[in-house]
Amino acid sequence: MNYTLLTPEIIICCTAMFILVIDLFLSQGAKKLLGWIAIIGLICAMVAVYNSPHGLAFGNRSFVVDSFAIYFKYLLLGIGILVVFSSMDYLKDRTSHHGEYYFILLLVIMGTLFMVSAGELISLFVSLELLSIGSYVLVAYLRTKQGIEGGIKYLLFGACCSAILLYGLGIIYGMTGTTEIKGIGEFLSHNDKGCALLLGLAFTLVGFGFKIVCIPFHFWVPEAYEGAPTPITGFLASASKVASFAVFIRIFIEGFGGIRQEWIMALIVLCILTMAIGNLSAIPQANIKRLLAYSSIGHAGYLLIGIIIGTTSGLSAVMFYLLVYALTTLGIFTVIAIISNKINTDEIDGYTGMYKRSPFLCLCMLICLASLAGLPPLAGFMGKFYLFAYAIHSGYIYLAAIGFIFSTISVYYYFRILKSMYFGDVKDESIIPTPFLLRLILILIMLGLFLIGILPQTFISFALESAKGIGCVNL
Amino acid sequence: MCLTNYLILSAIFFCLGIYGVLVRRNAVMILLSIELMLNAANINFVAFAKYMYPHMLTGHIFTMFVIAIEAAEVAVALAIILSAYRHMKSINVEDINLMKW
Repeated sequence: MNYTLLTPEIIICCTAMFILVIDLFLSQGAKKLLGWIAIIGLICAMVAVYNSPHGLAFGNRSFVVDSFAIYFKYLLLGIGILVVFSSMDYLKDRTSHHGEYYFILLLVIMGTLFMVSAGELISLFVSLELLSIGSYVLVAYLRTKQGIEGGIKYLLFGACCSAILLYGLGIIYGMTGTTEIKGIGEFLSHNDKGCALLLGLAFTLVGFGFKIVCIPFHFWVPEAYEGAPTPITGFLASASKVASFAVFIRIFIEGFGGIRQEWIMALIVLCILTMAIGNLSAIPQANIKRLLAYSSIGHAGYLLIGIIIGTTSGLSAVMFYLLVYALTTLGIFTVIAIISNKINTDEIDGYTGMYKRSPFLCLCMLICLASLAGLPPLAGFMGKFYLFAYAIHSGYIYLAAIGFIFSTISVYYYFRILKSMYFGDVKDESIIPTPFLLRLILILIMLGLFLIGILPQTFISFALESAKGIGCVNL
Repeated sequence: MCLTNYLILSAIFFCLGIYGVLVRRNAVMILLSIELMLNAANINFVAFAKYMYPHMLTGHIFTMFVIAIEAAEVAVALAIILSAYRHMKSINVEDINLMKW
């Protein structure tokens, strides 16, 4: 037993409990303090991750801390801090229940931290459910009609897919006799795979396809993204996706890497469908959160290319792209949250002439959307560059070509948003106030995007070092 | 009794669950069908653990975790369905479609 490996998770759990208790003693005016407590907890957890040794917490692989997990923990805690900052402003006038919100948010972040460390099916399933159940609540948290509708759809789809995933995990356990992902990999390299195992594999793919949002398991996404409070939409689009991809990599590369030829074809089909339908459905959307929901489906398609490549460098490209994508998405959703505080709508029509009302927010939106679309010299360009370059290097030229075509199409609908922001008549000329703190954070995100875009070497080599934590089958 | 019987039983439960999810329109009934699917998986785990790996407890422990998680999930689900009923006076999933698909 080595509890020091669990320090970041323990810190976050204690902070969450502390927030729940202290909430009872705070007056309505002092609720803002809760957000700060959450941020302090997350920063402490980040320091703990920095000092964390590598190893196994419980002797078996139920909690693994390796370089792969550490990379994702930094990323997830960073996302957590940004989400809490943008929630503090967003929640101010919308609800009086702040304590429970931060409590659930922190527990969900803890769930994602456990997920990236899970090297074993039981801990994997439990942490996955910790993330899911918390997210259901957060989506419906403000109890608006849209929120509840999004919550119900997310819940029913999510519960159904986790039941399918569990059935698949059950079959895999029955066939291999172990729940350790590495053990499954070793078993498959020595023994013959049966038909039943492939059935288990297919069910597992459905379960994870739901979590990482690929077509055709995406029906909940537009509703949940549109209905959820905007910071939570940012969280679902970034943290939930990042952690799910981490788990997906662990189980499909570390566990099923040996029987790659059995699932690679299915994954290629899913990848192409996801890129195509995600990007094409985004074009006619009138609601900005819905549009970004479909665009996030498209990005899941690009990310799948890296998993199809399956080498250490391919995984490093996925991890780098996740970093870039999370940063960009959070920037966009922070801007949307600030704007919707004032104009109370997420329709793109409402953004007409926004340039006159807040040039700063428009500039942020411009840079973030350009990065999502993959224009140089921004971070998004480097992310796509590495992903497509490794795809071509490994012989998946057609995937790189399809990805390139669809990312060109995505420029169209991203710039449609910008067009209505920068051009068009202004009906209401009132200034949109931006709190100082969020202004600072947005500036930092912009600088980060430029920095990663111009000096990607540091980040990609860090990702490469971390990707070595996963034992890739040499191709 | 042998392992195959239990696996067939769980497969039947699982298919009934999927059928229920697809045809039922009442949110609570869909939830019940999902429970059926989860319990089918549980039967699998216990049957595998008892017949194939009797010296290990992994399957039993997995089942116990799943039962606890199921309870939590149902608690959250019923709370959300209840607040949906307050807003829309219906828990029929076809009535809950303010936003288009």
